[in-house]
Amino acid sequence: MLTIAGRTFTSRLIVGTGKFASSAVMQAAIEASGTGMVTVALRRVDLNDPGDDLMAVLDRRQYVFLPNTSGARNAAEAVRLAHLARASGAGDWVKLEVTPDPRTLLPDPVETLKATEALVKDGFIVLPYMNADPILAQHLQAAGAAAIMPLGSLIGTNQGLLTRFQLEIIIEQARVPVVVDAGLGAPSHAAQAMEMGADAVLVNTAIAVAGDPVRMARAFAAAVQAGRDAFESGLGVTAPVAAASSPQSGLGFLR
Amino acid sequence: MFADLQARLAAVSAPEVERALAAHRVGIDGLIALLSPAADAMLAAMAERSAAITRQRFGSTMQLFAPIYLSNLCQNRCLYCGFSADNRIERRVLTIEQAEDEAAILHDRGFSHILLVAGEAPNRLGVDYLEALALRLRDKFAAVSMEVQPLSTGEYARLFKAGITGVAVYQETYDRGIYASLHPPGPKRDFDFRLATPARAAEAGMREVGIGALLGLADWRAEGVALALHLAGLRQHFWQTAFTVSFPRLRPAVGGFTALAPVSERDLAQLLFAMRLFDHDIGLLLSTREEARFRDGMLGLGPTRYSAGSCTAPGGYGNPALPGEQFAVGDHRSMDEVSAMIRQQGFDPVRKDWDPSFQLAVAQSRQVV
Amino acid sequence: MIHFISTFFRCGNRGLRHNGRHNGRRHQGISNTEYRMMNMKIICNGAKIAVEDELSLAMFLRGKGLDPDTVAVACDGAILARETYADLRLREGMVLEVVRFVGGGASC
Repeated sequence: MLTIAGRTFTSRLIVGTGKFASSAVMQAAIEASGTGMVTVALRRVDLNDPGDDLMAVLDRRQYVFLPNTSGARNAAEAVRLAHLARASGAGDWVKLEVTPDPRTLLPDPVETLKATEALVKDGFIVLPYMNADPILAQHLQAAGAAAIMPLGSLIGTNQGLLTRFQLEIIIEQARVPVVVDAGLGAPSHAAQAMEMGADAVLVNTAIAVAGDPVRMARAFAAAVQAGRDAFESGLGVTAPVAAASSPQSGLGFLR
Repeated sequence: MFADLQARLAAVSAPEVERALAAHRVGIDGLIALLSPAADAMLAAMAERSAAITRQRFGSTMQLFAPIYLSNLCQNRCLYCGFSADNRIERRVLTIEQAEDEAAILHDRGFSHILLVAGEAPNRLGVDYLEALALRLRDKFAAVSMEVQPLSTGEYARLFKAGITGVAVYQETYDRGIYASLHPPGPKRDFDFRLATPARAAEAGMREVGIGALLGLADWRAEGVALALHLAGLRQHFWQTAFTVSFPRLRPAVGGFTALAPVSERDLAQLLFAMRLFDHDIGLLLSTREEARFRDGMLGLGPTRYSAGSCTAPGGYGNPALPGEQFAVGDHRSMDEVSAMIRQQGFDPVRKDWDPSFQLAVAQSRQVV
Repeated sequence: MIHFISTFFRCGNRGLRHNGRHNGRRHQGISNTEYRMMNMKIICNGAKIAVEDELSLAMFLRGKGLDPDTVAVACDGAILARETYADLRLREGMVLEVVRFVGGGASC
């Protein structure tokens, strides 16, 4: 069971709610994914056309709403969005996204750490999105992050776990759950992240823009389960060099 | 805990050991396999793997240091130790000046890393003494470490500021029952306080923290598992600290204590290789307790730091005839002789691996706890 | 409640999901009496809006088709506690930000 900040989830797949063709498709895909938590953004209401209320489409009793601070370009903006999210009735959880570069959408390490410190002080449960930097992961954990969310590759690039060597280190050193987020373009990427020991993955684009989002959501769910099962069964790991069967080193000096 | 571990160790099969040997990363399960009786048959393969990892990570080098025994006065009565208060030996506490003289001898011999060792007697040799000595030695040596009684975080922070950069404290045995039987009532009897000492030192900002078990007190395989668990826990919390593991093996000492669970050289080798496979970055120490032949053979197979020319009696460098040593040394060679051996085998003896100017900057910038 | 639309507000943020509902309302004719009742102007989400005197925030939100429990409101920069919505009277020149959850986010 995935446990973050004392809360348990049966699914280790977290799903984003953006980019879907319609709220009906979004709702069906999320249902098919088996997820227990979805990320949502905060935006101004269009008073001329309020439109569908996301909270009416997705049952808050079935899915934990994890507000993200997407749009924030610095710590101050992220903190403000987090407070607005809390005021919107989402509880204390927040996925911290501070992305000043609209082209790469890479998370700003300095501002993310600043915002984490500030929000933890304000009583938030903070899940920061971060580049796969093991040292940054240490600082964020020291600051009180409830989980850390390192990226696999750039958002929307579908390149999978380009950062796998850093992810390995992060996972090995982590004292909080690790949720691999961004760049997971195929179920096999998600399976690989889970096999490496990640606690969960977050997927949005790959499901939302698939030809059949509902089926793709099911595929990701299966991949996450497969990867986790493999990890818990004790994978036979590959050796970097072949282990010599008749080694040369003489131990004749031992008494 | 030890009984469970022993059962688990005994049950390990050959395929499990092979898997651990081939693993990219060895976890606790893999370590248990490598420490098991079943792994003895694959000792040569373990040595090869340990050598490869050590060479990759540390290069073909061997760091050298020497201990300075400041006193053999001790308030504890540990059954296994030559310094036990129950033993009738000539007790000596060096004055700060005498300690400086000993240090000067080591300095002339070419040592740049030294370890201050003392029996546990805070009233006669406490933090004030250590602080004063550290301040005098810090500019003469690249690194000054200490192996003395467990101190508080605040005391470690004070000493760090004064120039001590490393702390070694050994749990002796991780088996609570045996620990209790070996330590009569006194300060050292508090198992948990001692266990938490490396964490306090790391918390205080010590650059390097050393742990270890006194091999021969309890089943060495289970001790190895406990050591690994202790190390893993420390690494998790103190990611900026460098750690080392020492392998002191019971040697003949005053008091005539014989090892409860004797550890052979082969056992020690297996333990050391297993630790290397478990942790690629850990410093591994072999002291002059071990004989020259053994230390020469182990060069390049895993250890990264050797003491040399050691004298375990306070004042013994200036006066080698002085009695009152902690244990009988196994390798009597001087720094120069050990260095020559190291070079002869194609390795580089490292006398200096740090610099006091770094320490000054670090101590000044660090917030004292 | 008569809706009075003065400006057309565009929400152009990335990742925002629009539903399929038909946009646009027709401008409705109102009597002089009714117009006098709506002689207060506030700024909401960047747009100037005329509202009734003594209108409570909760009523204002409902009038816009919003469930007060699903939105967060900042008034003159300060985020409001939900319990105050019913009692807060809108005043001339007040600057409101009304936000709520939508599908989306940068990192997907």
